[in-house]
Amino acid sequence: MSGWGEAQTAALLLSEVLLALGLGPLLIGLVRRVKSRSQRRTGPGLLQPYRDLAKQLGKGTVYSETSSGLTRYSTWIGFGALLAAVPFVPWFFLPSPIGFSGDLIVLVGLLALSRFMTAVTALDAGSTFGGMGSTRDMWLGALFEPTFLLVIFAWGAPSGSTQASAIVLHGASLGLTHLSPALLLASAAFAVLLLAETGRLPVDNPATHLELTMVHEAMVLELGGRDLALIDWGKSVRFLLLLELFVAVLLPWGDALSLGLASLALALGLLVAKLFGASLLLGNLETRVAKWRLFRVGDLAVLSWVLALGSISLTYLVGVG
Amino acid sequence: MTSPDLLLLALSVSAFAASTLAGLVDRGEEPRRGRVSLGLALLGAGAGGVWAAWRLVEGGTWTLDLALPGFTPSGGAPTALQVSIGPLGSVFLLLESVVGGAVLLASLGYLREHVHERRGSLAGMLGLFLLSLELVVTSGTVFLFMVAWEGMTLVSYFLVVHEHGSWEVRRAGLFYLVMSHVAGAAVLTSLLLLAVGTGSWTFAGMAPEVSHLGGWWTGAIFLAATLGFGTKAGLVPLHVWLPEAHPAAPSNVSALMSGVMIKMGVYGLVLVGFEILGPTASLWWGFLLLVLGATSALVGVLNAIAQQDLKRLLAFSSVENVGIIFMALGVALVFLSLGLPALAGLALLAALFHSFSHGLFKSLLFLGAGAATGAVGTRDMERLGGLARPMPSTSLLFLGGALAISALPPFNGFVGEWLLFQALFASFTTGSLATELTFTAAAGVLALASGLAAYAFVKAFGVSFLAHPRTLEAAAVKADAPGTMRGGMALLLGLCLLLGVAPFLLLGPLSAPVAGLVGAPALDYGSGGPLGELPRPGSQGGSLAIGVVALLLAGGILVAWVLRRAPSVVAARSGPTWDCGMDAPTARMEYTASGYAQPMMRLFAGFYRARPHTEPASGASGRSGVLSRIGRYEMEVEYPLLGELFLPLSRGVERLGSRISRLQSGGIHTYLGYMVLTLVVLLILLRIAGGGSP
Repeated sequence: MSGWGEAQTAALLLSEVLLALGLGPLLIGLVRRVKSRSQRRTGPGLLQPYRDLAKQLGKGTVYSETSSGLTRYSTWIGFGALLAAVPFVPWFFLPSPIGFSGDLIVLVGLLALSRFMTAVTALDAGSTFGGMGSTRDMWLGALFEPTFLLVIFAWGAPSGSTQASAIVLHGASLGLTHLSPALLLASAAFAVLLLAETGRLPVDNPATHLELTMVHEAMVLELGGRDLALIDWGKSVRFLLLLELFVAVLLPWGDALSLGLASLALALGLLVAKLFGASLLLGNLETRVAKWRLFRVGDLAVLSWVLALGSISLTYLVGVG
Repeated sequence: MTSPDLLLLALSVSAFAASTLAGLVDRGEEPRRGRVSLGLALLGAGAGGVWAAWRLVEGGTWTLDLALPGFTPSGGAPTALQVSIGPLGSVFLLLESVVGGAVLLASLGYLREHVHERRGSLAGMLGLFLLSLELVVTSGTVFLFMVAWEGMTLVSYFLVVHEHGSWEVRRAGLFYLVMSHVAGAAVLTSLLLLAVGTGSWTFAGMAPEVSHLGGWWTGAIFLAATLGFGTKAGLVPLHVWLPEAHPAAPSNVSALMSGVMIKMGVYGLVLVGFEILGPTASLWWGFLLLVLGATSALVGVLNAIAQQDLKRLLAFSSVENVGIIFMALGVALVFLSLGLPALAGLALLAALFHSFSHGLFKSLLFLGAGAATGAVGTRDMERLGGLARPMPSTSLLFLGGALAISALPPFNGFVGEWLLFQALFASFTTGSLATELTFTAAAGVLALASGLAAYAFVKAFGVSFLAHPRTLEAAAVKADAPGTMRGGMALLLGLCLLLGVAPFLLLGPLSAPVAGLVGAPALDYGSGGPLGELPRPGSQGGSLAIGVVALLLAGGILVAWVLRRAPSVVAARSGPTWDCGMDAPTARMEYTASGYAQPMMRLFAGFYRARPHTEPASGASGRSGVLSRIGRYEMEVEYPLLGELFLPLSRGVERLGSRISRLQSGGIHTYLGYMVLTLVVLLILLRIAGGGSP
């Protein structure tokens, strides 16, 4: 590889990470905005998540007297795992700069690492709420891990790869026949997973103030200041990663394949448009459903397994090319 | 001396033997007793490790015929004695030596701190145990293998019942002994069928002859092997001895049993199923192993979640991991019988890599659990807690083991599961719908099992090590584990991380043995790509350069660290945990182990057959303020396998035994009558079987 190629790879990688860090809070703000508008409220401005982050980053931290050294380090590791996951999602340029080094299974592993660290930290302070959030979050994670793997298999079977870039490139080459029933079923399963993995309604209410119904918020109740900033920022990056994966596979068209200025601009524009569209839909969905009882979510998980298995069965019955 | 093989073998065997003797005759002062013995055993493990590494570098098989008086040295005789170590044996010898060495090192501290009687004999038996394990993987003949196998069982029985003052330990030991003998009988059956069918008593001599055997014959051999080796490995439903024996044994013994001994079941099955019977494999063998493995993975991990005994939780998690290994073996057999040896190699590689990984992190976890439970004096997680402050190193090492066993990057557990996922994903190249759908379902099971394992290990670590101490005994712990224990655990965790970041260090040496077993040219896992990425068969699947992923992870953590460490106006301080404005929170307000498991137990209530009993607070006197002071919640969990499968079985055996015992009247003329009767029956049989000849 020439020096130019390496510099290009590094620049693309850096731009992807910065995009993920920068765009995540904006999407959270957008979903909140859509929700408040459709509920006839003014609501906070689009940029409120950035203001919250800036405020938290400037604050000092209070640690529980009960907690051990773990709490001082675990939030970095969880946040770092999410940043490391960025290159394994297709963004605006394909093939991903260092996408060869991992596939979507690595993405699952890194997301699970971040979840594990948060769930362990939640137990450190000895608070009842922490334990409650921790067990619920790990419960959800365990139930939706099969969905994730099955969706990867379903998405990957036509192209014969578990690599995000290969899946998207193959999909784009198919034209409109890409939107097959099998793909739609798998994507529906992934949509359910997206709601659960990112703590949206009806699985978890991100805006709740009642501790007994919390999942994610209960876990991080004991964190403050910069630790909380990292957790919140990380949560928005996780949301962005999964949403981007969803829209990129469902609508695989428009990614830049070369480094021309025009194609890069077009790809970035399309990326933002797809993400905004998906966020609008999600915000609308969230105003229409109430939070479900935790144990009903088990049914939701099983539904997503069935959808994904159905998709794979369809693929195999029709036959892989 | 032309080759170092004989020298290393002799050094290793004699060091283990000397260790045994030294331990048994040690009459030193009690706290120091056993140290000489452990030191000698470490020497033996070191020599064994060097030997295994040398064999893997050298390649090929090294054999040594033993001509002892009274034994025929030739391979054709049933009593032939031959030491033979091939690539497969070297892999398992390396595992035994590495894990054995680390556990022996940790045993130096463990014996001093947590074993209170007969340290010398425990150390000596550890040496003998390692010797028997070494013999199992280096036996070249049926006779020597069975001697080593039964020796391993007996020595491990004595290790399990070391603390035989307690009734529970004796009961667990007896249970283990009985199950092991059933397993031994099945192993013997399988090997005898092989020997009779092929006419050879050496393993090397059997392989070329198996093609003459019929499908029924090889099927019977395979079934008996699965029964025997599966019991030793802890495959459901034959795993029932495992959650009894592991908690009863001293923790360093549990570490060796779970890390190494149950892998001998894997070794045996690979030896019989692949090395000897591989070319004759039928499709149903692979599906049988896949189904048994998937069942074990789920049953193991679901039971692990429900446990309150920390070591029992770890034991059930071993059942889960053995399930994953057997799933990979099943996948490999399916591919092999479909004529896809490259994919079979990938799956077999996953099985061997995961066997190795599990040996490393499970022994680490058992040692960490031993340090914690030894310091507090109970294995009940509800009575531990708060150990992260007095025991920071042990807690950190246990956390690392928990991450590795939950299959999270950048640890070795992730790499093993990634390889298996890739093998399962490759099913779409077979073109057989049944295989494709079964393998996809298996991938779902594997994903569920690894998600549940993470659940179980957040619980195990969080409840045992974090927050307030749950009892006065836990609060009284002042010191971390002894230095040698921490050293042994650190060595194991270091290897877990190394193999997670640079898996080709092990995959490279494994690829030649695997290629030999499946009869396909080796995938070159030794060098990897320019960045150490793992190649894949054909152009299918995904690639993985886990080293790059680890670098990315380090970079991400660095960014987070910078964000968090930027100069701040306000310094960090500490305060009490938020408790809704009540008194200071106590350990009684923490989430308990059973509380943590509750959501899963409720979801899978049908599996657990859990029956909750609640007793509300009685009357007004039971309440004080808003909290009820009295009131109980109990959850009863049935363990159906014991009650519904094994108890009726053992009662049946007893009933049959008492019927047969009526034959034993004790009168001499009755026995004379039996002899005459037998003679007559035999003569008649001879007449019928002999046909016309006199």
